[in-house]
Amino acid sequence: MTATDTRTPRYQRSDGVLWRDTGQYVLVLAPGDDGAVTLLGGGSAALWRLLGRRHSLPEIVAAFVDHQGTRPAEHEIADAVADLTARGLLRVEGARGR
Amino acid sequence: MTGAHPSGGDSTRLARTVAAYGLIGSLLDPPEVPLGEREFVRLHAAVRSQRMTGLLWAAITDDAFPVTTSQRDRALESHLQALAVALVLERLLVETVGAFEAAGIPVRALKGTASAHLDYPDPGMRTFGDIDLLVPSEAFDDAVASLTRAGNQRRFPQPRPGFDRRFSKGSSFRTPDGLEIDLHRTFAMGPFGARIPLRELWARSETYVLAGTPVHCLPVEERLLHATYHAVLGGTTPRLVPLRDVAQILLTQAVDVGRMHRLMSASRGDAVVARAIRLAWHELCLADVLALSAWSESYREDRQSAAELAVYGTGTSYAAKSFATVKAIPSLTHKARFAFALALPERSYLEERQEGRAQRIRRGLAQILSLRSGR
Repeated sequence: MTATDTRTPRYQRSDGVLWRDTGQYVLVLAPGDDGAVTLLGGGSAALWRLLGRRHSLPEIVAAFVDHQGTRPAEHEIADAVADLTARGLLRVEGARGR
Repeated sequence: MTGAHPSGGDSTRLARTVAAYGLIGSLLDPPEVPLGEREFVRLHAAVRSQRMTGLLWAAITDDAFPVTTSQRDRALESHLQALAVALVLERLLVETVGAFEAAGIPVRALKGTASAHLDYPDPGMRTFGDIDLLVPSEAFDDAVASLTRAGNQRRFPQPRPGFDRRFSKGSSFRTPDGLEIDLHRTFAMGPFGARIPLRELWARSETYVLAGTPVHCLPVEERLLHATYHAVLGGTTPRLVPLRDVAQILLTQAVDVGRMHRLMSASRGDAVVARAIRLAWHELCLADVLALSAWSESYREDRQSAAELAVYGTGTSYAAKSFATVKAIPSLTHKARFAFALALPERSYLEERQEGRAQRIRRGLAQILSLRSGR
């Protein structure tokens, strides 16, 4: 990844989300959720912690390897990221057409 | 972990141990093995009722408070519930602050959420059950109107129009979802609340960010002053979390001691601050000596302060607090307005209390006379 690679989508927590981390689970409340607090556990919680800074999918996979010693399949990460994005929990930068 | 501590223990001491968890210098040691079931149930009930699930969970996850698997699960479940409430309350706070600012109403977040984000190492350690907002006296009626427009219901009417913006501690509101918003004008009812130089509270602020929104709150010395007032004057028996807040600020924040003394002096609240710090140090068994903790130990209440503090104690009435407040109100006109509003409140105020005017006047006079005669 280079500084000029602006078309690769990069993901980061959305500023409008309220959240708390218990160490085991992360609770998140997205803007517009009608009082529905979402509980993230396992890989989703780890992903949330990681996305305090902007990362692309390959960077997320590499970070999982560094921090957890496991290499998740990139499609699993992509699904988890898509899920969090659909819930309004992540903002995306650099995606085509955005 | 599956073993359990066989012997009985002191649940009050255990609750204090949880309240002190993470504070440097506390001599309260957690148990060495998991509590028995009965003891844990008692402790867990106290932890939930005093909103200390975050402190218990922090102690458990740091392996400082041994628990069985089942105890851990229950501690986690109650903490998740408390955190979910905190998040929903913070969203309400962001919306309410946004509405106030759009209406040109200055506002400061108080207590729970501000303390959680600014004074604790992890905001999850400090949970809360309502939101507390401070507005200037002159904007109080506008703030009430803004909250009412947003669909919130005022819990108790004021005695007469203008009473709250001039004299009261504040007013409490219930949202359509059953959440609580406490709108404050000052830190406490009674004489200590009446003497706080309110304009000075607006001279400076600190800011934290919630959901991308900057939220203004009091600077650390004013937060400490408020924490001490809440700890000592907020109820007849000091609760553990307000005392923890006092200790947390003193032990982890760079409090300007000279500025703190000036604030106390301007508010004539030395007796409140000294009592709160002394209580915090004793209840949480803190060994470290700070300039303000040493001062609190050596401070001696004068007769007037002791009498005023007694007004907040067990068994004292609203009339007794009101009588003491009259003495603290500086202008004769305002003293008269205050007394008139309480002696002859509007019908809606009496209906809320199911009380007639004559009955109210008789009861108030009897309480004031008994207070003056020292009975």
